[in-house]
Amino acid sequence: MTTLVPKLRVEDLCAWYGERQILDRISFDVPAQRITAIIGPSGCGKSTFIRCINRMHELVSDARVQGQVQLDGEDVYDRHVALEQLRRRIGMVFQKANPFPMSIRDNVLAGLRLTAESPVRDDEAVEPALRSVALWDEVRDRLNHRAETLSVGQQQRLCIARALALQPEVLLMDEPCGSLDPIATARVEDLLGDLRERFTIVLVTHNMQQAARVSDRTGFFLGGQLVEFDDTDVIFTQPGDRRTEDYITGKFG
Amino acid sequence: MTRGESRRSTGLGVPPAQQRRGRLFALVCMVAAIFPVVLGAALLGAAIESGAGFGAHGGLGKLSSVDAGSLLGSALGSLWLVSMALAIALPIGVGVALHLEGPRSRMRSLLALNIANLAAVPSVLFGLVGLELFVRALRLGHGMLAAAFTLALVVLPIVAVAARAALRAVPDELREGGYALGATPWQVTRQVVLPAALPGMLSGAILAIARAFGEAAPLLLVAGFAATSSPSVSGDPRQILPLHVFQVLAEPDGPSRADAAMSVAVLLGTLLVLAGWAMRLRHRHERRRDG
Repeated sequence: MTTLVPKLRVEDLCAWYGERQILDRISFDVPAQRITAIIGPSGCGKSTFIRCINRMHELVSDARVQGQVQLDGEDVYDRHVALEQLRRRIGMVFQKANPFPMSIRDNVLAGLRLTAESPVRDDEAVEPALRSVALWDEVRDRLNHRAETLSVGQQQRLCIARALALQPEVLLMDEPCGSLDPIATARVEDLLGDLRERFTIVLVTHNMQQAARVSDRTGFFLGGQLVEFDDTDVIFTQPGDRRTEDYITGKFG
Repeated sequence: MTRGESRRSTGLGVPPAQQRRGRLFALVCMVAAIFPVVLGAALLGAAIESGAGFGAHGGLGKLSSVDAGSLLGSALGSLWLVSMALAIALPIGVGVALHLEGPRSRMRSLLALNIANLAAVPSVLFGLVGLELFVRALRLGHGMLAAAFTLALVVLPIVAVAARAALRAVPDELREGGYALGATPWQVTRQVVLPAALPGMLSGAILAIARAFGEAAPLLLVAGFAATSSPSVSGDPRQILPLHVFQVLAEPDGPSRADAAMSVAVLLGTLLVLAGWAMRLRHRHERRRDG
């Protein structure tokens, strides 16, 4: 495995919902400006894992976390970390497109407006954000239309634009194509290729082909443990662990 | 679909029993839905008819005997009182709902149960509370202000319960989207949750308007039974439609019957207009939400 500058460093991360342990001592480095894919069967803890990175996990009332997640060497679980600031640096895209019930323009600006001390000067941020998700040409004439009028695939790209408008350093994507058809999925995957230059992306997916197509590194989760983490080529061509091989060859999952 | 199933459903004979039961149920539901409309129309019609004197006592002459001035005054008084009561009850009710929808706790579920129960408390009791609290303890006098606060108490549970249901209906994905953008809980509530819950909250407001408009008993207590009008800057709470009807009917002489009937007609008419307006407002917000 080639050495790269780590953007995120995860050390002995454990997570629980109530008494149920979801993650068990996860440790690995997420390289900067690369796409890191997290694969594994349903319920293996991959979603919980990325929710621990931007501390969304703790929104659930009986959730608990132990261990460290370092962003550029700083522990995000440090007592002095401001959650709002952290989540602006680490953006997130969800499985189900969740545009706010407002116009397309307002959706893009939502992050800036939600957190701005002074009113946001409109439009400056709208075009670049929409361009970077290849949505600008499709919606430029109807920025004032409701976001719900878009197709699901467009809505998901709008949600990505909404996250990008805040210019985060890391982008967490929790099965961003989980509810999209193959064509919309292909568009989002193209997009990922363009975005990897500018952001550090952590992509959770249960679609192995997707991980193989777009990612540089891949981690295989099983039962809350990290079975294997390596360059994507290595994982898919000569995995070091028997369970990884069984999973990627479709013996289970 | 298996072959057996498709063969069964392609038959053109008598529909199976379940299907007929379903149709019967749909019919019952339709009758139940139409009934209040018919009842409302009949009430309104009867009121107008007896008020306008199409009945035994001869012609439209009766209408002139109606004290049009006091009727108009009562209608305006009602509008004023209900607006004040809603201006008090809506923000508080939404605040209560927001609190109840916070992290789950025993205290909160106890509160929620009590508030839901308050909606079923006879409104006369609210009148007694209003009399003791606003009129006597806080010395607001028998004026419109005390009446508005009392009426706000009456509709508060309705507003709170409806607002709570509306807040619950907002999908968690929207809240998560807000938090993921680095918003504080207050920013998420203010800018994401409340706008999304607005149509549902307006439904609650419609119910509250209807209830507030028709209330007579608690206001009678707060206004006091004195014959002379009490001096008050905010207005006289006895000059509202339901109490107008009550007072006119309480008078022993005959001609006032027409007056009372007209008052009822105006009351129902105003209510219809107000509720229609509120529904339009809600519909517009819903359309905006659904695109």
